Amino acid sequence: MQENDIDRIFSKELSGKHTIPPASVWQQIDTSLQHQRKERKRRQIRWRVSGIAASLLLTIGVAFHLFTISDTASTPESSSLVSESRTDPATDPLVDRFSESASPSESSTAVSEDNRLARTKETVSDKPRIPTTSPTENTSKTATTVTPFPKAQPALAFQNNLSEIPERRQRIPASVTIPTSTLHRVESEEENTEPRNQDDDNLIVSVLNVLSRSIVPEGKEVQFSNDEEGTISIGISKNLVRQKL
Amino acid sequence: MEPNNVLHIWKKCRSGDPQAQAELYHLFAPKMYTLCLRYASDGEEANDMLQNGFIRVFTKSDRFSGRGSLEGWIRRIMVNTAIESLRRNKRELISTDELNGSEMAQLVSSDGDLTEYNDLMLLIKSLPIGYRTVFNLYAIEGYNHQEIADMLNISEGNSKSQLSRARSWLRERLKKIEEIETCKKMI
Repeated sequence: MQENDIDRIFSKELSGKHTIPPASVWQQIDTSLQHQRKERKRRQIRWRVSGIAASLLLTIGVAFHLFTISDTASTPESSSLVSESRTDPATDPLVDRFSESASPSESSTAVSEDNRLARTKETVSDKPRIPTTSPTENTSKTATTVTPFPKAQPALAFQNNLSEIPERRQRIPASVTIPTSTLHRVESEEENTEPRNQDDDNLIVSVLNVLSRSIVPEGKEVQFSNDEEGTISIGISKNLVRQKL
Repeated sequence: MEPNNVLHIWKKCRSGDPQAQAELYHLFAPKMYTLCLRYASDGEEANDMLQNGFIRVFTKSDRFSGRGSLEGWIRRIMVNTAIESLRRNKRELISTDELNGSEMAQLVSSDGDLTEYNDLMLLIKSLPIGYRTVFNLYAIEGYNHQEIADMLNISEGNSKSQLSRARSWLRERLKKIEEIETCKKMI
């Protein structure tokens, strides 16, 4: 018998044969396939739920972003109105008192803060407004005298300008009002001179700011910021402090 | 290529149709079970091979491009599953049984009526696992030595020597069976 003969005999007799397997084999295969189908369905549902959740989060995020943009766009107008009501040093007796008693050595920021607080209390009581400056005054001078929150102004210069207020009051007719456009411009100049840029904020600060705006929708009452070292600081607006007090 | 009805069933299987999967199984299972029985040491092991092989066929149905024979693709999956099963069961795929091939070859006769399926299956099953695997792959499945060496992670020379020893072993068994048959006839 040749070697190939053995191969041929076995190949011929065994390759084409059929043997019926036990029925239990298919039952086990079917069970396994059903389990896999269920698992696949579960995975698909999980993916769909995750997709829907991600879409919702994205939509909410975009909505917050758009809301923030519209809120920021409407902020200058409202702030100018607020500044208009606040910036009335002519009617403010505290300003007079301050101008009389102020000296360069007392010009600390704490005093100016208290001054601002008291001034706003006065404006809330709806006193008649008397303009302090004429429309023909130089814009830069208006900026130094009328600005409600002179962030970039040195305290000494502020005091000196306040001392000039009584003299001006005598010269200004009572019917003259302050042009709001001037105030708007001053406000916007101040905003432009802010050292912080929102682009410098990292992601966490941005998220915190968005959250704070969603909680306090009136404006930037609570402002988060970070410095170069990564320290996150919270800036609380005076309005909010006053409301809480 | 398979008939159109088989390809139609296969398309349904690819989409996960349980009815089509059952039809395909019952169509190919008898042939594949014979294959598994040749590689397995017992019926239980053959059942496991068949089960794992068909689960792989259904779960990896996208890997069949449709160009070649579907039965050939399923057969190849079954062979690979059988080899993996033997490996998993820590079966030694290289047999070291010492056989005196030249001595046994002298005893083999070309005559005899020993082509019964059950007898040949018994002979195959009685082979040492390494010989049996190489003989199955070469003589019945039609793989060459290079392919067998790659599948079993052995050298090509090792595959050839395993096949040679398997043939000698089978000749010896065939000879003994033939002698028994001759004695029966004389009585």
